[in-house]
Amino acid sequence: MIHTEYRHGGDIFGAARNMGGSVGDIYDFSANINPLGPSPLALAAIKDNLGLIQHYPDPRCSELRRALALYLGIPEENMLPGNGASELIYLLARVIGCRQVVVPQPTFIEYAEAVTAAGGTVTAVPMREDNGFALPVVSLKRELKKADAVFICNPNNPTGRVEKNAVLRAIVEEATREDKTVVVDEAFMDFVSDADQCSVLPLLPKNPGLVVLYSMTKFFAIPGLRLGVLIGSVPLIKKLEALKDPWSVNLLAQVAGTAALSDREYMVQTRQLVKQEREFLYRAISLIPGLSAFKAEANYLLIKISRDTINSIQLAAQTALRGVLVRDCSTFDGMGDRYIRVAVRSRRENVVLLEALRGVMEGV
Amino acid sequence: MGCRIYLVRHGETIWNKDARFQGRADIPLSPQGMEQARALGHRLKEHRFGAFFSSSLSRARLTAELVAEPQGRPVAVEVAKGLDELSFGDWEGLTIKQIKEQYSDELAAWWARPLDTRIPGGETLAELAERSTAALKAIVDQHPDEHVVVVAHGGTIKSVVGTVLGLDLNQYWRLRQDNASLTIIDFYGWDKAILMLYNDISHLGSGLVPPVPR
Repeated sequence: MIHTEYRHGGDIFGAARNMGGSVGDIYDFSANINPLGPSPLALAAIKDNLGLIQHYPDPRCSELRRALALYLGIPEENMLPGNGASELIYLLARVIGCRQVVVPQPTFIEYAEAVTAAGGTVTAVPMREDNGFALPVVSLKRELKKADAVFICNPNNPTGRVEKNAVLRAIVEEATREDKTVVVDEAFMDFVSDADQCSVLPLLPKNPGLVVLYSMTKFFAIPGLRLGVLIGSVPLIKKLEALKDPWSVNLLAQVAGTAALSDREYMVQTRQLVKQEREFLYRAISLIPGLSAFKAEANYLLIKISRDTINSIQLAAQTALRGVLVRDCSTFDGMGDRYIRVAVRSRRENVVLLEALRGVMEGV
Repeated sequence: MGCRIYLVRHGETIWNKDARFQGRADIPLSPQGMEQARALGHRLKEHRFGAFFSSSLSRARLTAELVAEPQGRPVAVEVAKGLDELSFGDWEGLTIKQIKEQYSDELAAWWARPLDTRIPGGETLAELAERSTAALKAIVDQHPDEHVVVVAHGGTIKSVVGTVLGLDLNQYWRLRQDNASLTIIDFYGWDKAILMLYNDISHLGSGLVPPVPR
């Protein structure tokens, strides 16, 4: 299962090239980025510190880690910042020496890619649509007995479903008992209203087998800068640090991340806006004949196409012709061609998305 | 002498053209809307104003800047958030046809009693009238003897006009506000308001005038 083509959302440069237009003409719903854009404090910090790029970045990310420790309530020595969570996923797959890994499907494809690239084998455990794409806890625990590690994305991408930490606790504790690794990717957790009941970070002190991935790319809208953090036991962090490129987190990412973490007002506004617009989009999409949206807790919605005269590849291509990029989910392993995913953006943009979807579905 | 307020509704946006409810959604001016604002600026270029105000939404801010441009001196547009349009909540972005289909009961209630009918996820007209009137009163109090331009929105302007004239705001739909229209109120103190001009668009050339509704 080696894929060489680009299989993610957010390729607006490629889309603009294909359309013969400029990046500014495109409405990008294929990447799940905060519709407010970066925090004004982060932008100001970047401008104020531009001159510093003549120096090497702080390899320890000291200020960023201090800010993260306060924000996440986790000691600094338990975290390792990286050049986006992706760098950390690949590094982790290499370091924990996972030969056999369990991954629920459908989910973010990079876990399987990273494990495969590190020479391991992936066992997929299906999450079923008729069960609301719930985490299959029983089968995961059963499969984990035969494996070294499990990767769980919570809230899950692309389904948007979030599990309470009470649900994950059983898997985490079993992994600790059996000396296995549970990786929980919380890249979209900041968007969740009751994140304190869903994040597994409180389980960390008693569960050395738990690894949490946190991303600043989505909620703080800096995908172009890249910034992710891996949180785990001190011995694991030390092992990973030894193998990681020491300067992979660039200086501007550190500066922007530190500033953004102090912007409480922006965080509150983001959560309010995303919740309101998610509900607006959910309702409006469900009124389009041939489409239905799934209830979700993050900043994106999974949509099912119920009309067999069009598939997800065609739908995504048709909306792209209207300047609107949506995520064709057939590139997620195990998803088939009946689903697309759309980001939740501002009302102005969401109306453009709805018009594009309505327009395409009327014609099929 | 008193305070003369030049109330201006923002120029046309793409959503105005499609007859979509905008509210707090920050929709920019269309090229036509910018032309309308420039035409008003041309009309007012010989007048001297003590200040320019706008709501916090970009369609009003840009209208104010374009109206101020022919003044021939640098003008700072002050933002008064209280002048923002009525929050239409879940209706923002929908056309009237879509609202009729999806919210027929709520829409009927809103037409009958906008003052105390809450649009789903939005505001009542009473709430809008309270904050927009407070924002205007602050401007009048600050500029007791000056002419001031205030660029705002259809709902804001109608609720302010209705309030200072002592109208029943449940009859608010009897007032019309066109894009880039001019409405003038003279204040001899806050409680002595005289409506001098209402919804005047004589500065808009024939190409800029909206069609008459049928």
